[in-house]
Amino acid sequence: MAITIGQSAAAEALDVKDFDVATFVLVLILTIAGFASIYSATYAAQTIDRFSLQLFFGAGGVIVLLIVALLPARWLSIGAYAFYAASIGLLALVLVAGKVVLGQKNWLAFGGLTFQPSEIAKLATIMALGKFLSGDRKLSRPFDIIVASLIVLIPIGLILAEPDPGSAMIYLGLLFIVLLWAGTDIFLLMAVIGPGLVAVMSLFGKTAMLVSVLSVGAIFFFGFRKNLLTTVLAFFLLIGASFSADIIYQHMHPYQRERIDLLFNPEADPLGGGYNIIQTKIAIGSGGVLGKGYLQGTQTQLRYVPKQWTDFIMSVPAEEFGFIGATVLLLFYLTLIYRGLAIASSVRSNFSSVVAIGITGIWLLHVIVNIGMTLGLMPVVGIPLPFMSYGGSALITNMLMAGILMNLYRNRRVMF
Amino acid sequence: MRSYDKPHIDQPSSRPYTRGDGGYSSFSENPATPGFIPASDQPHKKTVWHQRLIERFMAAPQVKDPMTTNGRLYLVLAIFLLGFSAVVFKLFKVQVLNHDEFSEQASSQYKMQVALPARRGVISDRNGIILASNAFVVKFAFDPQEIKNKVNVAASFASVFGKPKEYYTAILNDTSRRYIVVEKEVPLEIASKLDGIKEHGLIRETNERRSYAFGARASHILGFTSKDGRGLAGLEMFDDKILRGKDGYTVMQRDGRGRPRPDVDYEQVPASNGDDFTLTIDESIQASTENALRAGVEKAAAEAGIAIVMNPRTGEILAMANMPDYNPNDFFSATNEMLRNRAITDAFEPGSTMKVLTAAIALDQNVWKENEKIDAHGGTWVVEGGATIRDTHPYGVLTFRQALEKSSNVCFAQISDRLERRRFYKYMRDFGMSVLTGVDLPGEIKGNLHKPSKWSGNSKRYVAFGYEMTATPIQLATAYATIANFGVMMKPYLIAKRKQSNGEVVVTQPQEVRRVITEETSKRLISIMQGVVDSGTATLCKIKGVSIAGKTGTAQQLVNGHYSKEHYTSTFIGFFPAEKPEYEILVILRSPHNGYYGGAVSGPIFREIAMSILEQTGKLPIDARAPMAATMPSIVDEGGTVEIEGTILNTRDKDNAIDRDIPDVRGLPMDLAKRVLASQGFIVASGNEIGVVERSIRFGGDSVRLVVRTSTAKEDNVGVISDTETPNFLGMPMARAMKFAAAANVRVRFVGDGKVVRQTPDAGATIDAQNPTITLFGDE
Repeated sequence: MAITIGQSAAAEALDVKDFDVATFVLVLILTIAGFASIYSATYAAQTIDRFSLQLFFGAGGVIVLLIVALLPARWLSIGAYAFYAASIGLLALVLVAGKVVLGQKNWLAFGGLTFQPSEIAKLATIMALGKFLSGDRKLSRPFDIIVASLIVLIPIGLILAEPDPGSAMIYLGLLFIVLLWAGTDIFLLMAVIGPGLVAVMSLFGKTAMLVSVLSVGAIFFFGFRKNLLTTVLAFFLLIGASFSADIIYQHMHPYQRERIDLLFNPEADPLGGGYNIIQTKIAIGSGGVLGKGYLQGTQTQLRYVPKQWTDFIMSVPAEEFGFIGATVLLLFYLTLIYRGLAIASSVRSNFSSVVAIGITGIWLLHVIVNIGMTLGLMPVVGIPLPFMSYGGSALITNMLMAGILMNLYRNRRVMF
Repeated sequence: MRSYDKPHIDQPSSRPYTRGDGGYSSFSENPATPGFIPASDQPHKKTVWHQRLIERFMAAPQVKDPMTTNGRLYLVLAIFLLGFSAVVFKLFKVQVLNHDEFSEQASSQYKMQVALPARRGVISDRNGIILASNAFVVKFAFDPQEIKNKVNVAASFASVFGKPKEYYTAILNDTSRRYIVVEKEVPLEIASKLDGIKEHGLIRETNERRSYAFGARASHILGFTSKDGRGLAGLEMFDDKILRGKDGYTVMQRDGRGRPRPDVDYEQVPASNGDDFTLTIDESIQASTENALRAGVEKAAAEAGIAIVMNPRTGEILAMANMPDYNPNDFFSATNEMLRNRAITDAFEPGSTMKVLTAAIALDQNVWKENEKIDAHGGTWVVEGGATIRDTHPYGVLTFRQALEKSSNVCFAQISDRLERRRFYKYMRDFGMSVLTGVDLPGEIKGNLHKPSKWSGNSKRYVAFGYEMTATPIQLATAYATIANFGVMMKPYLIAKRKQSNGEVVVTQPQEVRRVITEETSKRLISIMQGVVDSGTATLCKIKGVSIAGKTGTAQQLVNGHYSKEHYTSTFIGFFPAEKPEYEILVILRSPHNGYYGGAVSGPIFREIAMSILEQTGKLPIDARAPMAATMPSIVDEGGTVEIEGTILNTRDKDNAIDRDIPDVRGLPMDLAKRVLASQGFIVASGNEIGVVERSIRFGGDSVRLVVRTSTAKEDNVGVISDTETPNFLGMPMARAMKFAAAANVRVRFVGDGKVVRQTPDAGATIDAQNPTITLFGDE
């Protein structure tokens, strides 16, 4: 059956063949892998209620996913700004009435239920960006770039106030991906990203700083061939960033600074802040190529990794199923992200494309940052692994995102 | 509504998006370079299932998005793949390249080796009465920060340990420390009273400690161990490694909070427990020996006393006692004087007891006849070089036999004159002088007997009556045992057998050292030694109806180079029955101040010990029982022993009470003993119901004293008596079994005599109401 593009009436009709089985199955696989990992992580601790709660959220999430996937095409874009406004409101509310957990004020409590508005705000920001870019916008225009950036920077500001720099980092990454996707001048992007990259690198020491400044500068000089003044200006920007990074570092929150220090040298404080990274690496490293077997991971079962079921959930499959298991899991993520990218590149409307790339970007950033921090590649910033980490807010939000992606796929031929 | 530069190109006719034929080139601007070959291009080939699966899952729609047209898709994809590659590479590094390092770190974290302590071997006497065993003690410590109900804890401790409540409250309020030891070495049964306190801050540490059931009993044999279980003295030291065994270990898992978790899959090396020792010591003989020695030492106001009971046939040491003694449970408070096992560590000039050996050599060499006359020179004989040999009593002419009975130094100096010095020396060596006996105890010394080449002109004469040489009590006892064993020396030993942890029993075989003198010589000598007791210097040792052979010794001690008139070594060594000696007893008092003749101070101790042995083995002739008031020792409290001044009165037949035998109630619980006594018409005038009768002492007439042991430490053969269960009679002499049966209200029938070796029905079996008689089989 050939469907002619442009037949909106036909496209809007529910067709079982437009159901995105690939995304759905991948999401289910990852969620079930998450259940299994949480079960293993809480098995010895006899805190099986966590597992049951996660099952409950998972079931709820699938229902949400299915409902959203089957919503009519335009419904998603209609409420985008309102959704964004509401989540900004919640982010502001959390600063006033939030619950402080581990030094961060990022939880809202409704009766017995608690949730993190920063999770749902990610989706809201994506939707708002999509809505903003769905019109006749040209992201080569500085005004549009500024507005698009503001849409992301407002929640970043609120989230930094919690303070939750990990989530803020994700938002920044999201902004970069969306701007890149929507056609912003790459030189402009590099002029922003370059100093940031140099700033981060300069934390690793003088050599890293020098190498990064020179290499990013070389890209500016040879890659873009702008006029000399612009290039020199950008180069000075790099040098300025690298020096200011150190000053910023000095003014960081102590626990945050400690985390950065420990990233470079986790063994410095094996019983304190470095404990998590050391234990996680031991768990993953001791898993080897084939792993120790399900429920047989000594480090997991003996509870060496604190709160393993949340941010460090990846250490469970990595220990119990080894490098093979962890790589297979990563391939599932890669496939899901590839799928998202495919959808983003093939939908007709710009709204759909931006939202799809946003969702895909969020997942990618979460996976890379989470597993990166589990392996000691990145600072421990409290970013959950999509679909796998314990936590209702994150799981439901991710299911919602998957539902939207499936909706976009189903309505890929619709132009709105 | 196109928004971006390049207009979207629909290709509905040339490449319509159809699920069935699949489109793969969604990321490609050029449809001519697809990732896969679309099925539609090869219409004649049928797609296989996996191809369809890939198409279904991975095929993105053909619809082109304006945003992808400037190659950004590849940039984004490249960034995405870069991120994934970084993660996979790091994962590979950690899990594959550095796997061994992390694996090692993991196992060093969770693997925990836990020692499985070996149980130290139990030491028991020849009848299985446990002398040294292990008990658990508990150490209590507070972590005041963790103790919630401080009032309750303080009150509980105060009531259990008898200290004021404030004492504990003060400790509990000291929250500056997290570990304060409050009570140490608490026996398990007392510690269990505090089991009800469920506080994390109350720290209990259980340790195993050596426990000596009878306190000071046999302390010099047993020795003691340090708190960490190393033998420091006595057998505990001598056979420390065998007693200690070998600790095992198990590997456990330790979780993230440091708590151990057992894991069946991990290796476990079980502890190899120490061997259980059964000694040749007889606890009851040891007790009598100690009691008699203690009483004798006190009575004679001696500095020290040594007693050894030996079986000359085998070399088994039945008892070995030293005074002063100590309690190994509390060896810290003992002085060096108390700790010394003089029986093996002290060598001194033995004096007259050596005359027996000289006489043995003379008779064995056949250079003297028993009735040959020797001039005692009126007690004073000036020998070559101007030295004078004196006797304590002046004698005229004595026979060889009389010379030994009267213990004449002058005569023995002359007796030695007929002995060739090398031969004399060799005999002395053969008797074990200046040679270690090899008894199973640490610290034995071998005394001193110079070689003949170093002797002066009179050395042989002096050695002949026990001077100019030294010997340890165990050497003397072994030498006399040689005579008692008709000329064959047996190696003295203490360990009858040991049971290894694998159940194998190693039995010590009596070890013959050598024949020293002929059987005939020894028998002639024994008959002379009988004369010593019957009419010589040791008449106080006599027991009516028992033939005893022995020899006294009263040696002056060399103090500051002069023979002292105040410090004597008073000895009696004897054995019985003389016809076939079974028991040899050595008693030595060092520096008695209340009388000093060996026969006078040591003899009665010998007699007391001999009496107890005869009594305990049921071999004491009836007519020997009337004791001599003079030799009746006063029994001193010791450990858990108390005396009950209960007088037994014969109410039924008062006039004949003197002639009646007091029933043997030793070993019976007090209440049972009363019933037994009552059945014979005696009543006990004492209200005490607790304890076990250790011995009864009769003061002529109708007055008898019962010594009752109240200590619960001893394992009794008495067992539990119930109305329906058959009591255990095994090991009891027949007479005692009969009384026990009477007390327990059961009917018994005897087969044979002696000790009960078998009984039907077995102990513990329910008594048959139809046929309640228990049959006992004796060993004789």
